[in-house]
Amino acid sequence: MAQRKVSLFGRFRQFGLRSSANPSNDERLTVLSICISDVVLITILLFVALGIVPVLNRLSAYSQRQTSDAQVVVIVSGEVIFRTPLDPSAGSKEFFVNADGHPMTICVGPEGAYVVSSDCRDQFCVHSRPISIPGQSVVCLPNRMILEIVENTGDGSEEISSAVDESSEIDAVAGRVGGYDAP
Amino acid sequence: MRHCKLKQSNKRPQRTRMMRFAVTVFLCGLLLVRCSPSSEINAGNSEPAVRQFFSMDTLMRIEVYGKEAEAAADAAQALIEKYDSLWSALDENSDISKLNQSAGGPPIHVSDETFSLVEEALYQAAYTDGAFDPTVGYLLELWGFRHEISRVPNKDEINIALGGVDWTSVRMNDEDNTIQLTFSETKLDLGGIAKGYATDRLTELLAQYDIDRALINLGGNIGVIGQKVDGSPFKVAITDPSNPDRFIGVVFAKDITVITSGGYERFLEFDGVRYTHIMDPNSGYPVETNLASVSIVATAGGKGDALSTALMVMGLDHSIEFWERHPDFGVVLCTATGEIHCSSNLKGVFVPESDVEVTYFGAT
Repeated sequence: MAQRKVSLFGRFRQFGLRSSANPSNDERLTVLSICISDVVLITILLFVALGIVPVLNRLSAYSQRQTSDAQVVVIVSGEVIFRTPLDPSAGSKEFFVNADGHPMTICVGPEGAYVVSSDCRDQFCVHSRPISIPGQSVVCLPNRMILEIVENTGDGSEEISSAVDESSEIDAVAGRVGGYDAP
Repeated sequence: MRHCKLKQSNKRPQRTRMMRFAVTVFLCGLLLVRCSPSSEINAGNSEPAVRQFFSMDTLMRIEVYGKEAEAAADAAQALIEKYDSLWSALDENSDISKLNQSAGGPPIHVSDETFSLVEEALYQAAYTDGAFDPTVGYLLELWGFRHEISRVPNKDEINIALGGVDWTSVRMNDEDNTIQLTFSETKLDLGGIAKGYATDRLTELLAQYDIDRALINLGGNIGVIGQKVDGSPFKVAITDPSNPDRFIGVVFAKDITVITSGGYERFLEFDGVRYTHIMDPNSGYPVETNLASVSIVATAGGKGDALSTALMVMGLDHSIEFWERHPDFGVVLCTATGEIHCSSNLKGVFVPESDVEVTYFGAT
């Protein structure tokens, strides 16, 4: 029995044309084979697919971060003692918080959240720059206070955000206390 | 190639089918690559168990990934809190406080954990020729790094405190787990090694659970286990000591610790002069070398922690000499004038920011 080599495309074409062709006139055995042009095309398509994935991942992570309902929380002794939405479109507002007897003032505004004043002796928290992305935090070690941006879970609770995901530029900072602080 | 040619008849449906086939291959490819990370999500490995809490006089943050992540994170937090209760210089019932209170007296029985930590501290003191010295506790108290009120001590006070700074005077007996501080002026301070040492013990602990990856941040001492979900290494930034709001570069980390010591971390200011918390065991004063920060990349956190302190004390030239004698770790040295010197074994591991110039030392 005669053999006939048919490319992958040819095979597809054959399936498609079978209804209009007369199989009884073609007794030859059809062997599926892949020619170079098939391989090239499939390779190109796979590479395009591979290339698109990181872009899609980044876009999805970025949009998740941007559209998430971020909250500013103040945590003292493991308890959330203050919470307010982080709304970049709203104006700046200052809030007074009592960190276990230590008075502190927090500002939440378009640039993010930051510590305006604290009675701690090192003042590191006051000199920290504003934070606005879930996972970022400002820590006051003497007053044991954490000012953090968290995702709102919708049930009234907050989740401490992971500093690690595929889109993170930085997962941690050596020599810096607290959550990462992306540039 | 003849068999690849399309038949001339019925051309239009053939093209349509070819297009359908091409789109199918494309979508299949897309599906395949999208499926690889999501399979881990389905396995429950992608969401970490995160614990954040104050302990050991700093903030701890542990992120654990894996099937037993929650149990592992709980065990990790419990271990850190146990260490805090054993080693806190502020808790008068801790092993370290009891040892310091009995300085100049008889040997004191301590827990296995404390014995092991002090043993490691003395080993690192010997390894660094005393540049790292865990007996500077009295000096730290004198300068006010242990109390609310700080002041610059006078020379006589510093000389008295220096009388107790001698790591070789610490006696250890492993038969009955006892430690003796032979001089009454000696006070142990393990702040320069405890967090790094704890990172190593946490790594051992997490290995007992079904853990894929973890990011351990003990007050800025970073330990990473494994790599990220997408297979890339963790990215650990190193702060610019002259401007702590920016980074000098990133360490691409996998199964390693990255530990930084610097004068910008904790300091006191008197009359406009800034004093860092890192004590020079020779002078009795806070270190005043030409280094602004030292970052150590090492497989063991205890070693990395002690070395980061020791090299701050040594200064630039001695640090480079030390590394050339012991090139089994990586180091990034930032000078007070803004220069950055990096050991050659970190090429490709430490990637500086585009506007940062790095001088490499050591044979490549």
